[in-house]
Amino acid sequence: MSITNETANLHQNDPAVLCCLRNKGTIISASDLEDPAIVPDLQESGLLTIPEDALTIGQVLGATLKEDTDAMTSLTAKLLDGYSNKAGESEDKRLSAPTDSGTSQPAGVIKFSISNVQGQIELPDGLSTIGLPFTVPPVEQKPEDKIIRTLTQKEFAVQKVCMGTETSFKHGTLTLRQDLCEDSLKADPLVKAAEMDIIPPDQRHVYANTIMDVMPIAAKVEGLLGEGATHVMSGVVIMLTGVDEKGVQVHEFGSCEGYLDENIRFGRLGCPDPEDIIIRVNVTIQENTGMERRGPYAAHKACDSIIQEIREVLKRAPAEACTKQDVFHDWKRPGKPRVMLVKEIMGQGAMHDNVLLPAEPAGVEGGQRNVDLGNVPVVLSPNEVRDGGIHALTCIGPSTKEDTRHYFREPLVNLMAEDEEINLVGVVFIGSPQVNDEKSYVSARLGAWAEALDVEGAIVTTEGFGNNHIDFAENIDQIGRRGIDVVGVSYCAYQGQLVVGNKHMDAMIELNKDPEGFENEILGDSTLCPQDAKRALLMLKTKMAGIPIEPANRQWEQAVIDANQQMIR
Amino acid sequence: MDYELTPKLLPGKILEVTEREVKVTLKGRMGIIIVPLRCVLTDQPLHVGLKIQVYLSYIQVI
Repeated sequence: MSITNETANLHQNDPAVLCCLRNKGTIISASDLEDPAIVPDLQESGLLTIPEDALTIGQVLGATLKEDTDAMTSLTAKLLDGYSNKAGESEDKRLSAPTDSGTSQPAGVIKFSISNVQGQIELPDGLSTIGLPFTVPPVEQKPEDKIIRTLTQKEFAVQKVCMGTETSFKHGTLTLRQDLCEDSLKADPLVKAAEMDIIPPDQRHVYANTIMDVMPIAAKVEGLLGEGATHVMSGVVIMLTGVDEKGVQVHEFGSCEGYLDENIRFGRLGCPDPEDIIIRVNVTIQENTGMERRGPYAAHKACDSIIQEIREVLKRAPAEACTKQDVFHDWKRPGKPRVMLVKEIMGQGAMHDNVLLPAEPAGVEGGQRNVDLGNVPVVLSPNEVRDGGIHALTCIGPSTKEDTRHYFREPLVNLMAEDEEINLVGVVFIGSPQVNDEKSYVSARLGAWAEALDVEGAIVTTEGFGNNHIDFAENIDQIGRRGIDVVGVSYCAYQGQLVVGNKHMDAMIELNKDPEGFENEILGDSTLCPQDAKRALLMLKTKMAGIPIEPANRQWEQAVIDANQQMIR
Repeated sequence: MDYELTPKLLPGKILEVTEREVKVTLKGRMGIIIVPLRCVLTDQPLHVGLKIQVYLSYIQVI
């Protein structure tokens, strides 16, 4: 496959290999050369060897072939007349300093060379500046950052959870009504049984059915999602597990049944923290519905009805019991580069679904599912995300699964929303449909959003791997082709290597945390962590500043990630 | 769309052996494959729990 002049220019220092049979006398041009991107593949497969005296593309362009030469031959001095000896010429040029600037100035101009000036010139108010030997810089009025929305999250620490006759929350003790589970069956006829137990931090070696979700307990006390006030319980999480009547794990393939201490990466943002009390709600749904949309959704509805009763008591918690208060703002930062965050969520149907913007934080009721919305991009404000605007029904591999608690504590949303150097205009949630035509449809809408929002930069993240990497690539392409700088964030490593790519995927962040690069079936292990978020944002800023980003290695290498991590302070 | 279907060596484990076929599960919950016995290369009698490896790529619908 021959290359274009543009590609040849980009790869001046790569070895020159003939792409096809060429006759004696041919003057070598880009169209005679093999694509340097596939040369390593050819070497690996044994089709090609590059000798030590191989010439580079920069050296051979314009040279003449001395004899008929086969395809897949690495060009050397023996085969060519009139090649250039200057290797790496283009780099040398860049390094040379502009020392002689100014020599072409007309005679009679006095030039000052001042090496060190300190202090400032103060001009009294009202002084006419006409006739001064310098120009007075206009006073720059920097536009101020504006708060457009404020969310107050009040935390209430839970020290003890127990079962009792009625649900209450007093003096740090959460009591759960014993027949709460039985009542939760009314939420959906597909739910056949539900039970609840309490798992304290020191008793984690407990067998559990597949972990469908980890959720915070949070309730809206004032305003709508994303503004006003929210009460949150700290030190306790809800964990939903599920199985069907036949004993088949709900959303098998993405399941992670087993012992909790072995199957959860405690402390990840989507997981229980090591010191959290876990309230486990285990739901049994109608047989054979575990891999249909209605089955897992029914389980989530039942669990949400249990949480709703806890929310009601949390709403009435006295203000003096509040142990911590976080205030989040949605900012408008005029004059700063406009950027957007795109979060790709699963939308292939069955159990790959999410509830967007429920009535209560991290709830189910009142929200719309992205599959029902046709997976088109939906814009949320950073505060809406941080206030539990996403309830995940997703079941992709456990280690990359972004569950409800992950979205509640999303590190990249927090980082980008608080960064004063950028203007985060919104967080776009886009579903990943099953069929390619639909993928293209929603990706194109994402591109239109990027254009309409007039952003200069974007970060695209995805959970999972495989099929949804096709959307991931296309989402990045749709943004990149509009001249917008874009960074991709995903788990790929060994098992999830990308199956498609494009020229805009030149700045990528790897989320893998498994030493061998596998989906290791540990909940939340390879999800987006604060250090990944920092790398992603720095990568975006670097790209937007026009600093070249080195091409990625051909294969996943942890050393590259470690080296990049060193740059984060 | 132009996919790059590169087979990757994936580990797995035997779940079930019958007179006719072998059922294996792939590491990372990547799925379950059932193949006839003649598709399995081995020097030892097959039994549940044996570790296997197989080159596999994604499935492309054509």
